[in-house]
Amino acid sequence: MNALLQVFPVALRAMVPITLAAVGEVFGEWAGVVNIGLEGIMTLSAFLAAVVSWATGSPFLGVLAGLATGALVGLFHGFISVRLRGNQIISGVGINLLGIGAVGFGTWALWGAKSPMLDRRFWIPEVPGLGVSPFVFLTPALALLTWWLLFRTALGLRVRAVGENPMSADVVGVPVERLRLFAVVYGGALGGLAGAFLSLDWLHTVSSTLPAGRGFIALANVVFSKLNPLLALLGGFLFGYFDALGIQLASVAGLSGAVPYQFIRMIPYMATLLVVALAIGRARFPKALGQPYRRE
Amino acid sequence: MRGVRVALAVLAVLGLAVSGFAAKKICLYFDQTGPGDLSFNDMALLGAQRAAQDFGLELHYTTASSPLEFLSDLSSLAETGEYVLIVGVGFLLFDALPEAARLYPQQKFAFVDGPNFDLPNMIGLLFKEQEGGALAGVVAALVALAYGDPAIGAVAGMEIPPVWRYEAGYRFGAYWAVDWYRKNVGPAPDLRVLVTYVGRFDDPAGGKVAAEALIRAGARNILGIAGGTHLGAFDAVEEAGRAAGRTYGPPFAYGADAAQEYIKPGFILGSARKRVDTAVYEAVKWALSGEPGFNLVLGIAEEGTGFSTEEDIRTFVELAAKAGYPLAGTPEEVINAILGARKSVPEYVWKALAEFEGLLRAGAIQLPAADTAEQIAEVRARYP
Repeated sequence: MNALLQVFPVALRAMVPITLAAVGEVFGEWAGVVNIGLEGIMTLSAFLAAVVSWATGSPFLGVLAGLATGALVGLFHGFISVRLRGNQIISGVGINLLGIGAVGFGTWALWGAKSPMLDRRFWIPEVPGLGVSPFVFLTPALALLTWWLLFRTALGLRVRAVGENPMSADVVGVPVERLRLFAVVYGGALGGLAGAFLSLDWLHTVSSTLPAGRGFIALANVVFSKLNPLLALLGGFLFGYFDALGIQLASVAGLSGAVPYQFIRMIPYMATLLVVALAIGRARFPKALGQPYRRE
Repeated sequence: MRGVRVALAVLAVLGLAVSGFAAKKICLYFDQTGPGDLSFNDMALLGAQRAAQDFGLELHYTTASSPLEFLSDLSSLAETGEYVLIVGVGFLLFDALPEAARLYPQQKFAFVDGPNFDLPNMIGLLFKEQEGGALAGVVAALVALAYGDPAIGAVAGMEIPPVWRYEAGYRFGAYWAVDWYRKNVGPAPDLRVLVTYVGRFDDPAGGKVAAEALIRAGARNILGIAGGTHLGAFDAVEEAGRAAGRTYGPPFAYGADAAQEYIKPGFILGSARKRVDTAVYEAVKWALSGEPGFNLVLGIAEEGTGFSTEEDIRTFVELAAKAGYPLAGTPEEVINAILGARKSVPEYVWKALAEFEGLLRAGAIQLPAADTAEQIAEVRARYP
């Protein structure tokens, strides 16, 4: 029982990257653009956030750099998939590969090490008095903001129209390409924040595999959420919680010998799969998801 | 037709002549990450560089892009026929390396962290990881007793023999230390040894979550035997220490393979060493000697394993500084913080360490074997 409560603060941190990246992707998918390059976006922005924090001594500027990196990669993806009408999946795979290669080389070239650890001068400070990361508050706030934008504003209505039926939207004068680009850049920016959180707040290190699959878990979370940012927040928390709980059980209850660790590490995935399987029933995705729009 | 054959023959002779004049080459093949880990892989490279210099060889190296490429990469390297020795660095080459060695019997191979599979053209480079693990276990357990902790911990990577051997030694060393404490200092409770396998070598987040759970369970001395994953454990240890307002441990972490103290000066008390550089150097010597393959097992007697010395610490701080690593201060500050932490724990910890090391060198201590799943299960049951 105690263990169930103890992992709560750990889960709050583990929730952040999975949720932020997923919420951003939810926004992009409403506009009809899939970006499976979340892992790459997180890797690249974690690296550039660390570089800027290290070079300027300001973690705040580092976070901004992470955000900007994510937005830029989003713009790149948008340019390929919206402007040039390229294959969105291939562009996303490219982003993931770019992340591994560029960051692996970048850390080595800059610091002579593939996974350097950052001194605490470059960390994001905790919220004074509470001892938790500011991202623990920022993440639900951004999930709420994104939900509000999507479902309570005219902008959101237009974004959803563009993802559902771009031709109709175009006919009534909604700028399809511009809105899709905006949605992908918005999604990339949130993925960039997730990356900055990884390097400057949670792990204090950079490497080419820093997200260790969390970008892909975020994609699963998008499906789980049925494109609802608030459900993505719940999904991120659930995954983080079960992940931490699995590791907690592995070490503390001394299960290591009795239960293979592979089984314990499976828990979060199984729990998430189970929830997705139970929740997926009424999921409905935008009709034009993944399809480039060509004006006739 | 004949003209073509003559031309080919001439070309072949010319080719032989050219290759005969060119410098002999060796090649390092890394299973993952490659150089830049400032640990296992960089030590392999360091050993190869030293050998290349001493024996006048040219050094090449390359890193696998995925496990699917292991065999085809190794085959293409062997196919060139240019290399006196191809060194496979990393346990993940366990299947591909012997297969390549069977396919290319004329090519000499070395396997860092693996056996030679009784192949005449391969040298297996193995380490008595138990020894380094046991030395770390002695220190971790005595520090834990000094601060009244109920347990010590370890964050491990994948369940493979080199990691098992570290774990087995760590468990044994901890139990030996509790006995030593009872004989030389005073009554002591039993210590538990909590080991968490994260399942990956490249997931610092997993390592951090694991270490946080260990710290909550009262294990404030944590050995990292998970490569990149245990960087997260280092971070958890520093964070817990800073949160308690300390500039050095406890909690303390312990590194593996390299002397990793510089990563978190003051919070990493020592490292279980494994001299990959020495092993690779010896492998090059073997390749030039023309002798048949065998298993070279390096232990403390050969200076192949050990607990990081002050000299090791200085070496790696300087190595990191030279590479451009973002150290927490000037090299001198970093070294002082590390040595300061060592002075902060009771003197008897180092006395016990020296005693244990003496017994190991004299062969008076038999460390448990942990090369198979059954053996490590036995060790876990015996030293829980």
